[in-house]
Amino acid sequence: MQQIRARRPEALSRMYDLYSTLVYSIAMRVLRDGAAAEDVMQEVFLKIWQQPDSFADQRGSLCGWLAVVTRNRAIDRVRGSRQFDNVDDLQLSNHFDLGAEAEREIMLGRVWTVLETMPAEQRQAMEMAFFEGHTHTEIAEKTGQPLGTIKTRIRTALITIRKALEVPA
Amino acid sequence: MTPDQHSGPGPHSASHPEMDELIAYAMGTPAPTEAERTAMDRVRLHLTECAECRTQVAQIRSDLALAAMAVPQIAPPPEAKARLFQVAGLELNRTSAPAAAPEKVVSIQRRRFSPGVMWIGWAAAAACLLYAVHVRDTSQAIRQQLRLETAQLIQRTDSSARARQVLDLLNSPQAQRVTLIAAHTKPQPTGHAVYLPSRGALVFTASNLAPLPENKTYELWVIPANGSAPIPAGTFQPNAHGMASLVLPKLPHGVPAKAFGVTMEKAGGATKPTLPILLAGG
Repeated sequence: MQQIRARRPEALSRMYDLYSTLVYSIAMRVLRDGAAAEDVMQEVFLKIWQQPDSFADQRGSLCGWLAVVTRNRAIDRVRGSRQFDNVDDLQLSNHFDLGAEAEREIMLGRVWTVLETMPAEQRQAMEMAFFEGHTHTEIAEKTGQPLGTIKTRIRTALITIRKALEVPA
Repeated sequence: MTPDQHSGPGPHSASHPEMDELIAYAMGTPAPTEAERTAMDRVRLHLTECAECRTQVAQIRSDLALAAMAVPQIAPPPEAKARLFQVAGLELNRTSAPAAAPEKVVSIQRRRFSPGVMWIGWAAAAACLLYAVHVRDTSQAIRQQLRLETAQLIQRTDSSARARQVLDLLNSPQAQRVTLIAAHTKPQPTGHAVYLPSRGALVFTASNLAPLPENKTYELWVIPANGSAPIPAGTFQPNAHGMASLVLPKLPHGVPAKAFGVTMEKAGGATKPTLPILLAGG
């Protein structure tokens, strides 16, 4: 990030090489459209190039920050609004180091396992909220389930993920 | 602290927002009603004075970041880097990474996402799994602690390897493709759909498709069992061998299908099928 702040294009090039697949994949997951996903990816990298201080090291890992910012930008595009325009308060936990490749891989392995094994209805509710940007009420209407059930499913899905991540490495 | 512990006893617990509200805030869930907006304003205000809840929101965001990072990995188009640098007003050092020549730069809006890219995603996701297993195996201590996850991941990896083998075969231009039909009969266009309604997941392959006229595309439709309107499931173009595929197009969850159909539509697709239905099955 210091090299980015020093306005060195090769630093942007390296950052792109490291994270473009991650950013593009998340944007694709939300938008399911290659051109729109590339637009979001471009926006995210331009943001960090033009406003490097929008990411501060104490807010968590760059990798996690890019993941959340990309998801938010993509959801904004789906909704046609700029709800997440202000990313200054995007604080992530430093509980584990997503910037360290080995730890990130272990944590990702756990998340894959949890997502694969959690009840389908929990995963569906969480994905509809997180990747499709639906409100709880919208999810309840689309799935025909009570609002309270949807909230419980999303909460339980996140609790399951959290508990898996909190197992000491 | 796990999310379910948050509402436990504590100096401010009586005024803490509900966990569902913190989750909605962390996700940035829209608040379309006045009551929901008021609730979100209350959360926002509470966060300015409650470090415990700020930590909780940061943890939720961090968990969600990992959920986002766990999506199947899809490499961006090779030309995307050159386009980014062009927009940023920078010169791309072409020795640092593969990138397209400037004369190949095209408007993003004119490009269409190719279904073929999804195959890359499957392969990348499988490679990530294999890599995760490799990292895990480098540490005996970690392996012991993650015994359960290891078993599950190995099972997934085996499944992924087999799935990749199948996909590689189906997608390989070198593979010999033979359809056996009654002798002296012209090969007929054929489609195969594999559909899981509960997840809205669909994989479709077709063969012997006729070439398309200019500005036309094939479009797949899911015909819901409840009699509602056909749902567009994606457009596709056959290759030179008349083969095409659609992998995991965006579909609603929980819609049982009565049938599937393929029509020819204007480039870009349609919201309602145009007769005749060229391929049908169910």
